[in-house]
Parts: sequence; C-alpha cells; structure tokens
Amino acid sequence: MENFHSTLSRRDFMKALGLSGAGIGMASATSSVFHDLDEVMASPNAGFQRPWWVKEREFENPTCEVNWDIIKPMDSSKSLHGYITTGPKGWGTDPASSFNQVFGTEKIVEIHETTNKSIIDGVQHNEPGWNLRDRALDRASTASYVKTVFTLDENKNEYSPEFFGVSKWQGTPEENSRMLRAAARFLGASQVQYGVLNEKTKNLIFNRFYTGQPIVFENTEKAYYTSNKFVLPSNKELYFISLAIQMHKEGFRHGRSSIRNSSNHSRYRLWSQIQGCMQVFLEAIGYQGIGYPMPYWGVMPSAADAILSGHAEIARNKNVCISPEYGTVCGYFTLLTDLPLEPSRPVDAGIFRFCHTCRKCADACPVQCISHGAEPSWEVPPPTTNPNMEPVYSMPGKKVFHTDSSLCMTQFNGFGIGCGNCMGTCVFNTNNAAIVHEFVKGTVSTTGLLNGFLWQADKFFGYGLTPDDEKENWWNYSFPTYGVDSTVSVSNGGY
Amino acid sequence: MWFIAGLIIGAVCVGLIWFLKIRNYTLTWYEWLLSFIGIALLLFTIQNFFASLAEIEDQAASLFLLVTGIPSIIILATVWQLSARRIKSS
Repeated sequence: MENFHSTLSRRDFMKALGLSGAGIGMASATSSVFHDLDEVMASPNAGFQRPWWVKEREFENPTCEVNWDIIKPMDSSKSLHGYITTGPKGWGTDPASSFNQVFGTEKIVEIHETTNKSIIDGVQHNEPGWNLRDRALDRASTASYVKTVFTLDENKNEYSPEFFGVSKWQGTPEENSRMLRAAARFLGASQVQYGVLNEKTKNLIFNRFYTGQPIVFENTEKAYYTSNKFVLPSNKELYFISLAIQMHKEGFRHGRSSIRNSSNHSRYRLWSQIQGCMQVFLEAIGYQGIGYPMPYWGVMPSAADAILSGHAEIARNKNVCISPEYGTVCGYFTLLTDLPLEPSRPVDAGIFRFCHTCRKCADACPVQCISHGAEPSWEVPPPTTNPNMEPVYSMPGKKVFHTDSSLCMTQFNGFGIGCGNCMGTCVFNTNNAAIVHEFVKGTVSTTGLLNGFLWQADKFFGYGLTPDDEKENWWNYSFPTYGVDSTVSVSNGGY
Repeated sequence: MWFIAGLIIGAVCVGLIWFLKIRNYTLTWYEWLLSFIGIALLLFTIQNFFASLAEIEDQAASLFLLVTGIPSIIILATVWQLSARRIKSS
C-alpha cells in the first residue's frame, strides 16, 4: 500500500469519540429508567406487569355483569362437591350430597364402575394416556399427603401393578432413566441424574443414620425400617437417583439474611413433597423408592452423589458443589431404587480447575474457614475450634480444598439465619440472561489460562453479594415462581 | 425486543449495502472484517447491557457500555473513516 499514514486528524478522531460517548451516555441515561421496551410502556412499579392489551376495570365490575343485590353467602355443602367423599356406597353416594341428588345413587355407582373399568382396562391393555406409568404419575401427583419416610407403608399400595393384575413396568435402563427424569421434573425436581451402588459407591452409604440407628444390608426383597435400624436389600442391584432442586440465586446473594435462609429452607420444603411423590410413582410402577427418613437427612451424602452422577463439580468450599447450569445455589437429594437405570458420568466443566485460581468464596467468608491454598490436599486437619479432636465429621479419601467445618458451623448455626456468603458470592452464581456468562463458562471449560482474569473481571463488574442498603429492594422485584428459572435445560414446549 | 432489533439491524445493513452499490463504493477485505467485528461487539454490548439490567446487575450493565461498547464504536468509526478517506482520495 502506498499511504500508511493516516489522514484522520486528531481533532476529527476526538470529535468522533466524543459524539460516540455522548450517544452511549444518552442511551445509558435513558436505559436507567426503562430497562427494556416492555417497561417503557408498562408500569414502573415491580408488581404484576401485564401486557398492554389487558385493561383494568372498576372494582367489583368484571366483564360479566354482576347483580350484587342478588348475591348472598352460599351453603358450600350444597355445591356439587359437598359431601362428595362420604356415603354408604362410596364417593358421591351420600344422600345429602347435591351430586347424589343430581344423578342418584344407582347412576353414581354405575359411573364408579365404568371409571374403574376404564382405568383398569387402560393399564391392562397399555392404552396411551392410561397405561401403568401414566396412572403412576397421576397417583404420584396426589401424594403430597405422604410424610417423609424411608419406605412407604405396604398397606397403601393401591394402584400398584398387583392391584391392576399386570407385571411391573419393564423398560431398558435408558428408557427408565428418561421416564424418571420426565416424572421427577414434573413433580418438582430441577434435574435428575443417576448412579449405581457398586463396591465403590456402597461405601458412601452411612453405617448409621444421623440419630444413631444402624443402616445395614440384609438379604431381603424390600427395604424396611424398624425403630432400631434401617435395612437395605443386599440381594439386588440398587441405584441412586440424585435429584437437584435449585434455589433462589438472588436470595443467596443476600448472604447472612432471613431471605437467604428462606431460599435455603425452600428446597427442604419442596423435597418433603417431591420425595413422597417419587416414592409413590416408583411403587405404582412396581419398584421401590427408598428415601429420607426425615426431611433433612438421608442415608448417603447427597453432594457426593451429585458430583459422581454428573450434576456438579466440587467447589473450593468442599461442602459446596457447583453445577454448570445452576451454579452454587442448588440443593441435592438422593433416593435409592431397584428400578434399573442408566448411570450418568461425572462431568468436567473446568469448574474445580477454576476454583484452584479463584478465592472469591474464601475472601467472602466471615470467619475465614475456606482454604486460600493453591492446591487441594488429601489431608483432613482437625477443627480449629478444638485442635485435639479427630475430625470424625469428615470422611477422608478425596483431594479437596480444606474447609474448617467447625468454624463454618459457628456461622451456619450461630445467627439463627445461617450464612451462605460463599455460595452467594461465587463467580458461578450468575443468572442466565446475559450471554457473557455462556462465553465465560465456555472459556473456563476449554482452558484455564484466563481463570485469573475472569475472577478479577467478575469482581470488577460488581457480581457478588448484595449490599445491605439494597436488600429491601427484594420485596419490589418480580421473580419467577419459587424464585428460580425452571426453563433451564428445557427443550420442549417453547418456554 | 430482539425481533425489533433484528428488523432495525437488517434494515441498516440493507441500507448500507444499497448505498455502497448506488455510489459504486467498495470496501476492502479488512474493512469488511472490522465491520463484522464492530457490529458483533456492538450487539454483544447491547444484549449484555439490557440483560444485566434484567439480572439486577446495574454495575455490570454500565461497565459493558464502557468495556465493550466504546471499543465497538471506535472500530465502526475507524472503518467509516478508513473507507471514507480511501474513497475520497481515489
């Protein structure tokens, strides 16, 4: 080329730069008021923002005309649902029921017989929408009454294959895994992975429950429990189902606060329902669902199962694991079953490698219980609070960064609302809207060369815990149901 | 929102190409390359800006304007001036 010398003068360059800067400044000034075009047209308040084509009317004046002079308090027992569950011949046969008065006992009995026959025929003939697993899901969906138990009461196995006179569900392990994932997500789990109890992973089964009862293997067909022990069958292959229940990320960014504590407790509330539903589903297709005897405590470490089955990788805080999809803010629970399943493999998304460089959680810990070391170790040091004590609460056998759990417990139990600073501030505790997060995750997974830069960039861009003076804003935000994005890893439905 | 953004970007691109054809202007290969990079960076900035606001990360949103937005403007301005000067001198 002949002319390398630029003819763009400094004056012109600075003029262009200034105009550009002014343009960006105007855009940001405008955008601080309107977050997107929808909000330009909608209310600025964080309430129930409806589409522009939904118009509000006056109070007590819906689109159907109402004559308030005629409306009086109604006797709800006279609705078609009144006295519906009572009666000498079952559902709806109580003469006091409006339903009974409308149809008559004879007709209702006929309806029952027809309905039951349809259900039984559907299962026996494997009809689409009526087959064994369809009925199992239906049954599981009403199982919120089931309290958290190790195994279900054998007397409550109506709708089991035996009830219908069919054999238990038969599918390949791959089909079973797919089926169980569909059922679990419908019933409330965020994601599901699987593993098999082999000679290695059986060592993860506790030998005592947290209240001291032994957990043993016996030559028995079904798992059972007494007041003195929990028994698992030794004569059949068992699989573990690792269920993820994601939690509210914004809540965890509050660190030590009641809102974070609420976010944490929510997974136990959901689990207490999901476990019962899953156990009923498994029983209804002819298999066992061996669960938590109590909502908070199971028979094997759920974080270990989550890591081994590929939900997540371990974090710098060895009591936390990090999912590529859900980050740090996710709880894991384990069910055991004899339904043959296809195990899923551990994953490598560069997360644990990133933790070798990043120390954001360690820096954020109020009692500095998370190691700042450069390399993980096999050692399990004694607790700082009692150096003469053997760390019996921690099983060796994994090369991790050490977290002094005794110090952590001073925060976990010390304020009545727990801590969770480490989880809230983590680089991987980000939401999913900004595409930069996918670039970061992809880079972290591919190479560790930029880990230091990305850690510093995370801090520079202001990600992390919410300042105290902004915490009250939580009550004005409009978050999804349960405070989580349930569309993560969803492929169908256009959600 | 992205539907509207796509319409605008498509219209601008068609308009620019039409303008170049009408005036019989051409861009060099490096001007094309810088244009794509600049536009990609600008779109990256816009997406991350609005999405960061939606994520309630106001500081991140502002810094995207600074860290990726300004460079994208500089790149596009450079392409504009390079091509304008070259066309003018020819």
